[in-house]
Amino acid sequence: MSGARSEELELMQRIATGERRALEELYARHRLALFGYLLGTCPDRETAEEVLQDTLLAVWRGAASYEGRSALRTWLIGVARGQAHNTLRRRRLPLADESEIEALASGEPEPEAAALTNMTCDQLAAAINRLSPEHRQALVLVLVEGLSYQQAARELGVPLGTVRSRLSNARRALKGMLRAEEEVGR
Amino acid sequence: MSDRHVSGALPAYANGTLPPEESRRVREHLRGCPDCAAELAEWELLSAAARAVVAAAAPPRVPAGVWAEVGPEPHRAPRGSRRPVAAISLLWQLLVGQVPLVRRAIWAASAVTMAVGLLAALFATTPTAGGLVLGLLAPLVAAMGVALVYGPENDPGLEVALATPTAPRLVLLARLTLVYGYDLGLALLATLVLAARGGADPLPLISLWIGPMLFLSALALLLSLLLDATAALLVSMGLWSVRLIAAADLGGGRPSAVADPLDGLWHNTPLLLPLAALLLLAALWYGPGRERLA
Repeated sequence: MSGARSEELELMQRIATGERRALEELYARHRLALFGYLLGTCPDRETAEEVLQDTLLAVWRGAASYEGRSALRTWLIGVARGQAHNTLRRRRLPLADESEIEALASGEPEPEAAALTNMTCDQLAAAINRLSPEHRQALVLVLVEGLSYQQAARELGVPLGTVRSRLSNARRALKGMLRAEEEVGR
Repeated sequence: MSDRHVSGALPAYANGTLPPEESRRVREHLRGCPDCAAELAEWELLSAAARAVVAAAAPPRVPAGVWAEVGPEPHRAPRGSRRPVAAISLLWQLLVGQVPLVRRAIWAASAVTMAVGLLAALFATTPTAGGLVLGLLAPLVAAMGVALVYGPENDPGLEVALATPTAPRLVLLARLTLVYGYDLGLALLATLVLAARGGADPLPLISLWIGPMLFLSALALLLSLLLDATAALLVSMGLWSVRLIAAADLGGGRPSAVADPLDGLWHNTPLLLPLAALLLLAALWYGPGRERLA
């Protein structure tokens, strides 16, 4: 077992013995990746936080079952995925909006729009928070979690083409917001 | 290659998940296409913004709701009051844990020897004479047991004991307590039986052997650690034999210039006890330091 892996195993063993500080340590290390995954698969921040708590609880209770065979992050995401599925299935959240796929297929040229690079990072971040869940999820999974289109499609349970179109439409929607803000400013 | 094709691939290009061949094509296209290059810049900014969104939204620490579900922290008494109880409990566990690691022969041999001694004592003419027998036997039994308590040649469990986090000294002390306590118990029992049989007071009988027992055992322990168990046994037995001979000599009624003082020494409990304590400390200080696994 590699040094990094045995360190991870040791951390999990400490959690299994009930050491609370060890869970805090684990969360500090994997916080962004874990929450990024949840923001990428849950419709909103509140749901993501709820699933995060369920996930951490499941990690706490099941720490002894981690044997170091896979990377800890992979294992954690697996636990998060299970919890997300439980929650989302229970709530029967709506499926993807089909109309967005049609918009892309029509091949309409993009209306002239200012570059997103005119915005600051913070402004864009605020705008991303106002996007629809599907758009935001696609951005987070691909750009933050670094998934390939195929992996993102699997996580979201949609066809690969839907991932591409959601990304494209997210960017389009953000440009729309930028244009609207500029118009208000004039 | 149309712009739209590359457009669709740009997010994957930005996060590095495009297959190498496609990646190469996109790179070449970007060289000649300012529009797509501008769009790539947008995707890179979007990456940073999305990361900022995650960082801002992620709770900074494990949410309180988790701990609420986990339940209250196990009650910890303030350190001061907890310590003695916890320490006693730990020591008890240590003692009990050492029982299987002590050579089994010690238990049986000690018991048998004391039993034989007791029988001999019971058949003695007077309780005092019987007490003398016990007084001569008990210290030897204890010393031999102690000599055998610690050391690689004796110790099936030594490797295990040394490999644990428990300090070797503590292990040694635990073993000592076990064996010595056991032998002490045997001696006390034998003395009580003898006293009851003869209707005599047990205390003087006990005082006959308690000093020598402690002293000889401490000496045997130190020797066992400094040299080895065999040396400790030989020295203990040799020393004790001298005493036995001297005692026999005295029993003959003739005063002896050599035997008298020596015998007096063995009876001088207030002297023997501190000496024994010193020897024990020396053994604990010096002994376990020598036992190191490679």
